[in-house]
Parts: sequence; structure tokens; C-alpha cells
Amino acid sequence: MTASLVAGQSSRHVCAVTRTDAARARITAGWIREGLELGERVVWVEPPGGPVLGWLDAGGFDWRGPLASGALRLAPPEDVLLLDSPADIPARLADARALTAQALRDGHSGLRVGADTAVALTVMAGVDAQLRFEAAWEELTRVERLSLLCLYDPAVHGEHLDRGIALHPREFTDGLAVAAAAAGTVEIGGDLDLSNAAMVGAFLRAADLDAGPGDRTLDLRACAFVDIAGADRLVAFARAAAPRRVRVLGPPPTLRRILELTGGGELELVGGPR
Amino acid sequence: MSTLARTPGHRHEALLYRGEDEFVGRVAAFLREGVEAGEEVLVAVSPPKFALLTEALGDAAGGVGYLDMDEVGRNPGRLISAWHDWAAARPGRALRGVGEPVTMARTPAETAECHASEALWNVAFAGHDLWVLCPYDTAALAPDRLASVERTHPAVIADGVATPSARYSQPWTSVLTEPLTEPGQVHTTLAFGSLQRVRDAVADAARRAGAGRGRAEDLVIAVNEVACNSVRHGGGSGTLRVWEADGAVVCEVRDQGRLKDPLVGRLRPEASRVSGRGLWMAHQLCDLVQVRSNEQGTVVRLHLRTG
Repeated sequence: MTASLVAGQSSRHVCAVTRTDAARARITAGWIREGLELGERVVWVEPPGGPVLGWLDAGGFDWRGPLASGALRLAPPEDVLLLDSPADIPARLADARALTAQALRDGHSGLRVGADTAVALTVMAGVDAQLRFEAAWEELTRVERLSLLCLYDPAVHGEHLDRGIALHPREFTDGLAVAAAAAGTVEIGGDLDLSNAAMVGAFLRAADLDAGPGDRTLDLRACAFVDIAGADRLVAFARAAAPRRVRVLGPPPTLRRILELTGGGELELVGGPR
Repeated sequence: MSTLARTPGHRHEALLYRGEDEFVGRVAAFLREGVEAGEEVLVAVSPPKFALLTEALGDAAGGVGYLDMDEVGRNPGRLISAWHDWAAARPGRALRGVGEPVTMARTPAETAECHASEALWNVAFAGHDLWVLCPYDTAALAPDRLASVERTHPAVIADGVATPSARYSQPWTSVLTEPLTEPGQVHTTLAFGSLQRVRDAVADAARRAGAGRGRAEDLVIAVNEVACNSVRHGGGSGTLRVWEADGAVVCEVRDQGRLKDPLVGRLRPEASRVSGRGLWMAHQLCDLVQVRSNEQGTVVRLHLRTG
């Protein structure tokens, strides 16, 4: 099965707000894998010896073939993101256009470029310059076959975090990661709330298309919080799946509480703290 | 020996009494009359008062349902929803009830929300075949706690005689605009666009204030839903402030949105409705919820007792 993060999404500019390496690893691995499966070239920006290959290993993805073929490339930050001042932005955008064109000439279906913004900031003239670059890239993703993943760490961006998030049309809040782990099973990790509920709902619908005839499992053992908007999507999924049963593994206490108050008996809660 | 006779339709009357004996005498007679007439009967008072009524009613007590005012009505913003659920489960029946929300045990802020609930009762139950008496103990209650009674009830009963209230006039129209007092020391102020930051701040504050884990999670769910409303309807962002007062941790969410329906959050939302559930949920999870809205924006304060 695919371990895809994004299903049925139109926007190509993704922001992932993460606090932990585990969430960074999970989201990045899923995003890279999805790009390669779509036939895109994936450029991950990190200094030599960076963590991404370990993240892919942890996700059970064999990166050696794609790395050897040039489908997956690792690029040091100064090659792609160097920004001594905002005046360099047009030059960097021209680079991105050229990289995209090269990927298409090499037979790929598009280009995706991803980086941790903490890494990007090491070669950029401050947060303001970085955020202006982000805004310019956002424009580019609308006209080029270019997708972007930007990892944000609240500890790095602090008060600028909300400005950074607002520049992205699509957001993984706090390391929410969704993966179709096996036929009929979907894993959701992180916090499921209003900011990502619609995306998760779309993902669940897409993942269900090739999930087979049996019962469904939503694995929420790595999910810490679900709000009403999130609970709605899970209940809607269960209603659509009927008469097949939908089990929820390890529901967080907030999901239990919300279902207690609002109903939602379609979901069969299994385990998890009470 | 009630001298009052049932008429069809909705009646919402204050019952002024002095002391326990008069309370038991008049309320038990009113309830017994309903039971004997085959009506559906519900009483929402504190457990000690319910025990007195049960004793006075004898066999008739079996025909009287009970809502624990100290539990369901701890947050007065839950009362209309609870009564509405009870009424909705009894379609076509003649309904009768007694609810005593205001006592001296209430804080001033809780008392104000009780009066808001009394004011909104008149619109929430218009059209129901429901006759409700709200007892007010004139011997125990300070005058300021009685000041709104004539404004929020179309009729007031004193010494067993019902008199139309001269001061009653659509009291619900001002529920959303009653002023709130500024808090003293505010621990946390956060301009938010991200819900996670709101949840982190609320969880921290609840922990610092000594709330247990389950209660802290209730507060996080409630504040998150109110902040969701800010993100959806309040201009995409808002401001969170947190402080402690009267043995409670208080979270305030302020945004640029405007609420128009004074009953917002006071009735159980239909399952099919997407919006409107956040505030109802907040009422179920918190000990007090204050909602205010005017042309400057919307303020929601959520209180969780920690003492």
C-alpha cells in the first residue's frame, strides 16, 4: 500500500508544523514517497549528513534506487536557498523554474522541493527574507509543476510562526500525519483539528477506494487530540463505510469525550486511555 | 392549595417564597396537581430541596422527574438544553416543571448567567405546552439577586397570587450585550492563528491552576472549539487571555466576529448541523460560560473550577 500523505488535494504548497523529529520524519517520508510514486523528481534540501535518508529508512522506504537514478536528489541549502538579501529572490525563483524545466526534460512529471525552514534560515538573511521568499514560491507553485514542503518548528519561528503558516494554502498542523498503512487501515498521528480535518476527510475517502471489502481500522494510537471538526470526519467516514464496521484503535480521551456528548455510535472505540 | 389553574401554552412564572416551609408547601402542591392531572412533571433543584419535596409528595413523588441543579445546573448555560431535551422526548404532552437556579451559593457571575438563562427561557420554550415555576427565596437572597426577576418572568407569584410583571419586556434582547468586568491579573495573553498554540496555552494554565487531567482536557476541548469559531467566523484569528478568579481558571477568547442569536449554544444542536455545536459543547464541558457580542466583536469566557 502507498503511504501517501496527500490525497485529492489541489494545492502543492504544504506547510508542516512539527515539534518532534518523529513527526518531521513521518511527514517528510510520506511526502517524498508520494512524489516519487507520482513520477516526480524530489529534491530534499539539507546539509551533507542530514537526517532524511534515516527518515526514509524508518518509513520502510528503499531510497537507493531513486537516489541512483536521479529521481531523488539531496541538495545542500546554499545551492537552492541562498538568500543574502531579499534582492536575491528573483534569482532563486529563476533557479527553481530551471530545476522544474530540467525535471520535465528528464522525463519526470514534475518537481518537488522540500526543506526544514530551520535549515533554510542558515543560508538566509533572517526570518523576514525567508517569509518573503515563501510568498514568492507560493506564486510559483500555481504556474509551474512544482510542489513544496516546508517544515516549521515553533521553537525556531516563535512569534513568526503564524505568518509562516498563513503563506501556505495547505497545512499539516503539528505533525499531523495520515497514512494508509495496510488494506483497510489508516493511521492518523498528531493532532486532528479544524485546520486539517477537511484534508483528512478527503484522504480517508481516497484511501478507502482501494481498501477492499473488509472492516476498516482507524489507527489513532499516535494521535493526541481530536476536536469536533475532526470527530465529524471520522464519523462521516464510518457512515460511508457502513455496513462495514469501523474500529478506532487507541482513541485519544478528547475523542471519547466528544462522542459521549454528541453521539457517533458508528465508531467502535478500542483501547486507549479513558 | 394552589389557587392557580392550568391554561394551555407556555407559562414561565417566578414564585417568591420566604423560607423552606413555604417553598415545600407551594412547590409540592404545584407538582402534585400536575401528577394528578396526568401531566409530565420535572423539578430542577438542589438535592436537599428535592429530598424535602419527595417527602412532602409521598406517593406522588413517583410521577416527578428530577434534574440535579448542582450537577446539570452547575453551569446555568446548560439548563435550557437539558429542559429542552426533556420536553423533546415528550411530544404532545402537557408539561409542568419547577426550576430554582438562583441561590446564595452562586457567584455573582453565575447569578448573572442564571438571569440570562431565565431571560432566554421565554424564547426557547415559546410554543411549548409547558408551565414552569421558578422559586426565589426572598428570605435568603440578597436584593441584587432578586432585581431581575420581574424583568425575566412574564408573571410573578407572591403569597400564592400571580401578578403580570409590569417590567417584563423581551429581556433576552440584551443578554449578549451585558457588560463583563475586566479581570485583575491576567496570566497569559496570546494572539492566535494556530489552534495548537491555543491548546498548549490552555493545557499549561489548567495544569498550573491545579486542574486534574480529565478536567484540563475538558477545558482544552472547550476553548479549542471557541477558538475554531474565531478561525472560521471571527476573521481567522483571535486573542486568548487566561487568568484565575474565584477558585476557577478562566479562558477568554476574543475575536472580530459578531453573534446575532442570543440562544447560541443553549440548545442541543441537531446532529446534521455543522456549525453551532462548539458553544453548546463548551457549556457542557465548563462550569460557566459567558458569551457577549456587539459591534466591537465577540468575547467568550470559559470557567473551570479548580477548588
